[in-house]
Amino acid sequence: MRSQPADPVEGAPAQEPSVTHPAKRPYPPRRAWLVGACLWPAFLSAGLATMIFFSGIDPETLRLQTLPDWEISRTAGYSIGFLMFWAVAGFSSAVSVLLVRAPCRDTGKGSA
Amino acid sequence: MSAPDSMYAAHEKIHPREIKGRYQTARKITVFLLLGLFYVLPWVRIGGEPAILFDLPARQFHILGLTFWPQDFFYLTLLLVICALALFFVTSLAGRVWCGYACPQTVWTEVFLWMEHWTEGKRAKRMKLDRGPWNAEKILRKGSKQVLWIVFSLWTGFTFVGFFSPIDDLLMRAAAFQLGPWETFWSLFYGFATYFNAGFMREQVCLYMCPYARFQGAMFDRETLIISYDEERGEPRGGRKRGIDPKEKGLGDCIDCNLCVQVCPTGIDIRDGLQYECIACGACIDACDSVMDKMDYPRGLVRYTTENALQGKPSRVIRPRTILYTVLLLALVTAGATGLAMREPVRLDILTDRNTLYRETGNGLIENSYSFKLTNMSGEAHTYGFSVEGPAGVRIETEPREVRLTAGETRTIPARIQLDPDATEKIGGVDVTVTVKSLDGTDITGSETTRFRTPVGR
Ligand code: SF4
Ligand code: SF4
Repeated sequence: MRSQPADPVEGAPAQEPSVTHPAKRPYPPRRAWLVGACLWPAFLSAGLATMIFFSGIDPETLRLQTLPDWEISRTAGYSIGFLMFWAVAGFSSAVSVLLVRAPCRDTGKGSA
Repeated sequence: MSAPDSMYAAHEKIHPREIKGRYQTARKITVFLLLGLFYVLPWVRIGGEPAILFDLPARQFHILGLTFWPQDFFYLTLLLVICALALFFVTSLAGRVWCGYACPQTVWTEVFLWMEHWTEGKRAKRMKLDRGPWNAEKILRKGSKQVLWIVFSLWTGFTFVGFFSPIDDLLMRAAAFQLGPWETFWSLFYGFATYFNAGFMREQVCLYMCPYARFQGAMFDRETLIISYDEERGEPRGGRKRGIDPKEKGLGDCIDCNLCVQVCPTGIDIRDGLQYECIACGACIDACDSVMDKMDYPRGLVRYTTENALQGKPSRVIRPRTILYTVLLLALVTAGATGLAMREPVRLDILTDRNTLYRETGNGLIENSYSFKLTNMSGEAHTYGFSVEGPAGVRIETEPREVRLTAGETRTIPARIQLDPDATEKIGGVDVTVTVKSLDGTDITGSETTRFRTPVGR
């Protein structure tokens, strides 16, 4: 046991760098997270919207009234509906992310 | 574009150290329980019927012998509201137990961590492996981890679809590569989401994507259970030999071993105080307790406590906030249960004929054909008859005129509704309401409105 410096009981202070204090941690950590931050809430909203929408409206009825000649199963109807809701909500989130980020000023000469 | 990029730090993978202890055992049990339910429930049958089946194609949910229809949307809404309230209630009482124990994100991440542990070894070994070159061992270990992860994810995705389509039939079709396009899509989608979120994103979902992590603080007060480091007792921290009286050296009880940091799945130091990153998994409590045991110090330097308790004030469980939640929850649950108990025990569903919109009969009436799906949801057999309401002169014919259904039976009955085209000015169609009534004096009724289609442009 003595040979292991990290053994807590021997009390040697940690060899590893301690984690950054949360206050000093940059946020957001990576640009890719903005994508996540758009897609995930949009996913949740789309789920909710799909549930509410299709509980009132049968995709079969929709199909009969719009594309009666097409073979679209209910499963396909729900799925397409969900994906559409997701796309719309995701797009809206993406625009919001764009707007809340500070506009890029470092090209302007006059800005101090 | 290089300047704004520096705002974003590169992500360093967190390798939580494995630890044993009370809270980790509790977590393990809940993981088995919850995932056990997830993987087993679709296979369970009660009296030949699946115990849980969200039969979307047929627009009905089967839950433990009860069948719910789109008309029962109210119950679904109620259930969601009850769940949300219950979450608020639990959060205000005991903090983020949802996160630590029940959130699918943490539960699946835990399982993925186990698989990582089996294939890549303990924390130190994993870190070394990550730093090291791509030799045969690294390829073998990382490769087998991927195989485990992928197989598990695929099975997860498959199980997910099994909630919506009878799973034994699904398995048979999957084995013959005959899954429908959407079934394939959703199982791959869910499988991939599991793989990606539990394998790679992990704590970052909680830190950067989860809405609950951001608003849960609003439900906290000074009497909410939190996981906290007892600063008074621990500081000043510092290393020491076993058996030395810390007071002599002017030290607190924290030996600064950093174990609580190493076990933390979100990579924070609980000694810095309560942070939104903390998912209340209790790993740091177990870690610190194990150290306290070895040092012969009393346990609980890191423990479940409340802000009030930390400052020596009493903590109450019963307080306005919890009373409010309890009252609301009780009211909603009672309302839901009463509603369920009083549901009309007959259900009529009307499917319109897909092939012909309408037909003109020999005597100049417009006729629409339907399939009535009649379900007797009561415990005994009844005989039912039908009537219709709508524009003047509307008539209904069913085949047969009266139907007898045994308890729980569903039958499809062909039906025709006829209307004089002069009775309505509406173009395209009118609403008619079909009422089904028990004919044996039990006075069970149900009704359903459907569209009667008339010729366009008349
Ligand atoms: S922070 Fe969000 S994603 Fe993470 S465990 Fe809690 S609820 Fe789940
Ligand atoms: S600080 Fe402790 S309880 Fe919080 S996430 Fe880290 S190990 Fe879990």
